[in-house]
Amino acid sequence: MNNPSPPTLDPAQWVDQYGDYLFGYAMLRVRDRTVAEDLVQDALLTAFKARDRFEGRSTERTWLTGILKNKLREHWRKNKREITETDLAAPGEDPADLFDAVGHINADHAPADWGSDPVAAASRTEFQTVLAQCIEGLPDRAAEVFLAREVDGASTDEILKSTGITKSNLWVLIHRARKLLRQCLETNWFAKNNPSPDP
Amino acid sequence: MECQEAMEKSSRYIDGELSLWDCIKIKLHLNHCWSCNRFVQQLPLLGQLARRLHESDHPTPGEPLPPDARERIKKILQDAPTKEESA
Repeated sequence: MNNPSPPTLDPAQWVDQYGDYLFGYAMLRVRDRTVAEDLVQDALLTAFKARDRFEGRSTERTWLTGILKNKLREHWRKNKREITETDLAAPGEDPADLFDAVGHINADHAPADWGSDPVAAASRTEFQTVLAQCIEGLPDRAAEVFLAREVDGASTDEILKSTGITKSNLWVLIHRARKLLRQCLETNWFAKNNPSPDP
Repeated sequence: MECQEAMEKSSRYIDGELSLWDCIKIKLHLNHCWSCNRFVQQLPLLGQLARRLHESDHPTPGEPLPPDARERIKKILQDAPTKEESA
């Protein structure tokens, strides 16, 4: 039986093939073009030096993204910041009349129906643009922990270690991100593309 | 438990980070509150949608790597020593 061909990489094509993806990935997390460019550059140079270690178990893009993730962790470790009150909540973020006096949700603010298969929208370019804008609009620290947990699959302990935040603040940030992202998608996509009567 | 408390605890509920007692209270609330039920069902979808965005070709549509950075990084990679040169 023949041995499988060794995996091949094509560093000369990395910038053209994956530059936009890696830059977008970094931008959603660091929100600074210069920092995002530097992280992509650093990741690709590291990948170039380590190209002999690529075993072909994942795609070239997944391998490069993994290296970029490590660069992001290094970036956050070097740039740890204290959590401030405004990281956890902002005045006026929730409608003043979201709940009534006894804590029931006001019917005007009840979540809308997103239809039977809201994830099906994910492949549409228009939806991706709205979703990216909603993520970009999240407060920095909330976006950082939301993406680390939900997209990068980081564990609670990993996030606590790399960001230096407390566990209770982590949950406040994750919930804040989810709440704001849900509302943004509802306002800017589902209410426009999937209007349906409530029970 | 009322909606306000149920919604505040919903993220820890879906991620299995609530105490048993709080889990029971939130489940009892969800049994009779369609608004909170819908809210709790939508929260996990956000992670799925964000992951799907990252599986697409570009997680931030419309914001490509700037041309000057593109050229700079290409040049750095071209100028980086090859394995043979650095040996």
